[in-house]
Amino acid sequence: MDDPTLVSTWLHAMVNSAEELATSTLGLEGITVINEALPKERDFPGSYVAIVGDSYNFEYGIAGSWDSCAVLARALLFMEPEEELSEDDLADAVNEVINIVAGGIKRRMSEIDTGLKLGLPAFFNGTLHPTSHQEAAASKVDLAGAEVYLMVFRHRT
Amino acid sequence: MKILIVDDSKAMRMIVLRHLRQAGYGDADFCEAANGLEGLSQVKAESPDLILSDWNMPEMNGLEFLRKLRSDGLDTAFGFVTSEGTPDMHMLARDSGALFLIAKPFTVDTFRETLDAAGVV
Repeated sequence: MDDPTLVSTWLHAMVNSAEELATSTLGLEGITVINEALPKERDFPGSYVAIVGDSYNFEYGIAGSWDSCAVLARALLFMEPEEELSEDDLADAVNEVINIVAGGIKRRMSEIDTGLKLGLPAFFNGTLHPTSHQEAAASKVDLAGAEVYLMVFRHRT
Repeated sequence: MKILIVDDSKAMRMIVLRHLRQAGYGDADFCEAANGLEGLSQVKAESPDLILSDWNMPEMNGLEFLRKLRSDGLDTAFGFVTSEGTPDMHMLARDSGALFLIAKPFTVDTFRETLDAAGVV
């Protein structure tokens, strides 16, 4: 187990969890990490969920362009490109992606913090910045043909 | 056989349904609910043979739903399909009367093997 005091350790748990989603439910060979950087784009839609523990508190998120989120949602829903995807269904599907990934993070990190609890995912469109009370890490990945950011914001203690 | 799928995510209800059909349960009748409260209503209205429920849901979560069923004297076969896959959650699910817990992400084989092992026909 990598050093849990490093936020990068918690990001790696997220990338591994996303890989598990890709290779199981989505039936893919895996994901591709493109780079490690926070998104600079504005008005990026995405889903976020809190993971709160005895020692650590996080917000985990997945975000990308509307087109990327639609590609990801269609992959999860096994929809063809020509099938109509409503904004509600897109948000619901991306929420479910972060929910599944968060569950995998909790499972991987529960030995470090046995009190980890999952919140409910929320979808929104906006620009992400860590506050002065947070540290952040992110990986841009190709997940099911969608270029999206996997992000973690940790509250400093 | 009638199966009630309870999840606040319409997307996940659709995914579970698809996996069940591919796992050999295509002949079953399916009904859905978006949380535990709706699930209770559906149990009374539809009398399902099996309930597959998410854990984290608004209004009434899956564990509260299961406990309410059992306290009302209903022993419908119940399994969780949830992102909560830690050993503690597995134990809590079983201690509360669930037959099994399928952790997300899952595969068609996960459903087939788990439901077979639980004796769900």
